[in-house]
Amino acid sequence: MKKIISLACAFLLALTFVGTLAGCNYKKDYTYKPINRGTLREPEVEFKTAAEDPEQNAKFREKYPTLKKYEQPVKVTVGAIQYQLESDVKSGTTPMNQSFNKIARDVLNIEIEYTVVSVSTGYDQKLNLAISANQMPDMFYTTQPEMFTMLRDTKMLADLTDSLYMLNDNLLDNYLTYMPELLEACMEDSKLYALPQQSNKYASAQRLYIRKDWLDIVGMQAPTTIDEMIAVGEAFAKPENKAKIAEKTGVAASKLVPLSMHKDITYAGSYSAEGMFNAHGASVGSYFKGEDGQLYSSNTSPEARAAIETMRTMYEKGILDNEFSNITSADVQSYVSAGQIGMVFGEWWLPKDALGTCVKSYGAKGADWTWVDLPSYKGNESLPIVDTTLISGYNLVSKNCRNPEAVAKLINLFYDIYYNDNAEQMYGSGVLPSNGFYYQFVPVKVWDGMASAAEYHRVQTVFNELYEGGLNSRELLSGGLSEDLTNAQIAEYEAGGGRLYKISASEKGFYCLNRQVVEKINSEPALKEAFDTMRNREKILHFAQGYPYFVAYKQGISIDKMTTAEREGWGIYHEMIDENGSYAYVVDLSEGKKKAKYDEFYGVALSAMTDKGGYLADQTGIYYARIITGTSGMSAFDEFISVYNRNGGDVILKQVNEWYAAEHASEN
Amino acid sequence: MERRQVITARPARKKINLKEQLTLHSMLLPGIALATVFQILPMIGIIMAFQDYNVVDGFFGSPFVGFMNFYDLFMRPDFMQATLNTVIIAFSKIVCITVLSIVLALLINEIRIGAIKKTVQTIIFLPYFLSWTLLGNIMVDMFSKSGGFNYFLSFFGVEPVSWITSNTWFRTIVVASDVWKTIGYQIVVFLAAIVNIDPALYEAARIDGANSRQLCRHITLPGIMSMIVLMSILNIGNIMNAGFEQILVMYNYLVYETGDILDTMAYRIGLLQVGQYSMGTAIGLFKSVISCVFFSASYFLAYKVKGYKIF
Repeated sequence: MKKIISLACAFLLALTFVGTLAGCNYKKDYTYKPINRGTLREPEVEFKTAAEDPEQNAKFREKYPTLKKYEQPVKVTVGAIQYQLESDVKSGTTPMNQSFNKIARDVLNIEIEYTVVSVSTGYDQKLNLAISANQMPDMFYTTQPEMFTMLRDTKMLADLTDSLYMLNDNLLDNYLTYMPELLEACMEDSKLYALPQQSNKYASAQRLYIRKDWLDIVGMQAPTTIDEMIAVGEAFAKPENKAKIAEKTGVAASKLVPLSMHKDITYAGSYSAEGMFNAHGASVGSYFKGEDGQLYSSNTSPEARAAIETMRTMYEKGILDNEFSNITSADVQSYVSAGQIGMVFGEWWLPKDALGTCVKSYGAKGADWTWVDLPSYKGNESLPIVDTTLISGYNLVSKNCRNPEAVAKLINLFYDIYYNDNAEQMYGSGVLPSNGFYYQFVPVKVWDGMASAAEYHRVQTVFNELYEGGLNSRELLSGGLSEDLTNAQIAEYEAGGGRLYKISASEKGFYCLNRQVVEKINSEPALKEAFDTMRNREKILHFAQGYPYFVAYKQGISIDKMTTAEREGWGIYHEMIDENGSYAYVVDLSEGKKKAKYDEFYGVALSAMTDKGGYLADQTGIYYARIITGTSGMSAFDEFISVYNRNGGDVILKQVNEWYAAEHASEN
Repeated sequence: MERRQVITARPARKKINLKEQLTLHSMLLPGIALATVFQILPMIGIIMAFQDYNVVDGFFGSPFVGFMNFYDLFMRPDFMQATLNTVIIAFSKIVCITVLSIVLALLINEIRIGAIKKTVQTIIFLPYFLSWTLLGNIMVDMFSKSGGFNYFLSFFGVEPVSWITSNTWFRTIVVASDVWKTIGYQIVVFLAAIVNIDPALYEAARIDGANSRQLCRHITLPGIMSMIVLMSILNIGNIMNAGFEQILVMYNYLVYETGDILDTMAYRIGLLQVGQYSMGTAIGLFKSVISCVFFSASYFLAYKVKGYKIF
């Protein structure tokens, strides 16, 4: 026995020795090796959209069909995120039992099998595990650039050039005409390794949202500078003002917080510190061009330091939520909904999110919000910081997938269902959320990047036309535009030739657009023409929810005097319809009417970022939180810079600059 | 003396009855198969700690980097801190749980009314069945600046403090809440040991005029001493397990300095970051090696002190 143990020990020692020797020479090379992107392989038939040249389009589609049904059933494994169901989706719907699966089977002969399914927080981890266990799904969607880089570099992805050409005219045209840089970022050696998500890069632009009724109570204007923002915060924090706010809104004074944000300081997004950083010219994880022409990391920049200093001041004065280091984004969301927060930073969708819930619940007591562009810092204009090229996600296909083109077919099918007014006629009632169709569960999809701005312009125009055309009686609309009908009532109405617009399923049958209102619109040609300019989805979402509020708002009725049904439309109106609303800001940025600042590093994560970025993100969060909460002094920022650079920050920066030089080589 | 002889004396070699042995040994097969599939084969994965692992090249193709991952790991400024935190938190938990569970077991044992005894025991045992996801969030809420604990203290004029983000208090909260959650289980072990004490000893002592305190000190405590020593020694093996789920739910940036442990660190590196399999494995292996040393030492001690043997 002793002999065996001695032998085993000797063997282990020898192994360790050999291992150490072999490993000594290993040093990872972080020099940036430019990727040879090459050029996208041309289609075998020239592409023209059906609108440009129907004949050529027909030839093209013969070669690259969009929704051709497989003759034999084809099985694909996929991953899906199990998001929370929205209110109009049939309860009990899961990715596995959603109606999209049946439609894909019937229309395309594709059998979808879900091998990686998780709630949103665990999805990336599950996917990561499946990949490490060599069980990557055939096709899936990921928002992680690091995952795409790793899979591309390890040659695990299929070339999707043919699949790209099989996308429908709108999507293909968007890629080729408006967003070729998106495709380029996903290419290597003339092969396309992902169908990137088309998004508006300005959609992530931050603004400051403020409780308007609180401002009225303290007698102040919405702030335009950081100093004014601090002054407003101080006013909100004063005990006598808190008492007044509490008395008016009915929320306990002890629960009121002047400005809130969540604990993940290094993450951008809603209710985060990103807006605060942007206002000072910084953005965590971004790289900007310095005066010497080289990129520098925003994390360790003087701008970030200034932002931290402001937050530290605000924390000290009781303006910034003293619990911020404990609370998640969802927590802030619920506090805003509960009428406890005075100011938050966030993107355009906040009005329909927690702000709208807040108005719905406390509007009768005057709760109202206003918003401003980022407050300026020391006389410098503060701009929202956005990515140079925004790829918000990647549709990826495994190189082991036997039918990579199925990804294009599924994306087309989703597009047809989601963006098409006649989807119900084409694919049956399975396309209704009330029958188990939930867009969030569709495993691979590409949003139409050009659709939202068009939608905004269209709906805004139609609302004004309807109002001017005479649909402006509060009496007619004040009860809301949805009407709960039984299936028998629906059948009877439709048998009489009337068209119903089903909003969502109800216990009785369906909530539909109010028949009286629809009949009034139909009775006047001008109204009908304007109304029919809207897409079906816009009628049952924007119009049904937002129009009664729009009419009351236009007539100058204050929020506390409105009916409950009118107040319900506050969110959608100020988000998607109001010409000074939150989405209008994104449209203005997209159309160049307002300015933004750009993160100069774009594309996918570099190897040094993958290896060292996680630790540095941790350290950034730790140091920032300590300084803001006063656990460490401002001088800790210098220590942070040194820790950051010493532990990989300088390696990453060197690689980023090499990348930048390679990307911009042609410009010099 | 006799016992030692039994162990050390080599039994005379018997002729093996192959047929009989085969049947007996074949009964081991399912167990061996399970252990092989789930315990031994996955050990190959350890090799990842010595490679710059990537999925496509796998175990055999990924470049071999020797101890590079460990070198990188030891060079991380937060690594030693996380190791230290792990040991401090785990050690504190072991000491507190052992001491308190003995005290509580003795106290519960003294309760004479059966119904009250059962109720107290059940109440103490109850949190054991709740998950850390739930309890952790309750703790975070309770010990935040506007939480219930500060509300309670405000009656005594104490200024509110954010306990959960304080490096001074975080470990205390972690240890205290773990004691509260798991102590019920340990109490049951000690209560079982107390029940096993011969009642005749108590009767004899009572006849000699011993009071309750004397009974406890001279009969109950010595009676369960062997169990106390055994449990303490075996617990040493858990010195690297500071409670992953609990810390994951309760910690935040401000308390990484005192609260980040090896498990949460391995989780962040190995699972939250893409492609960092090797580094994650290296942390796991480091922890396992240390644990293995402590386990071996604790079993050795358990055998030396109490003659307790598993293998």
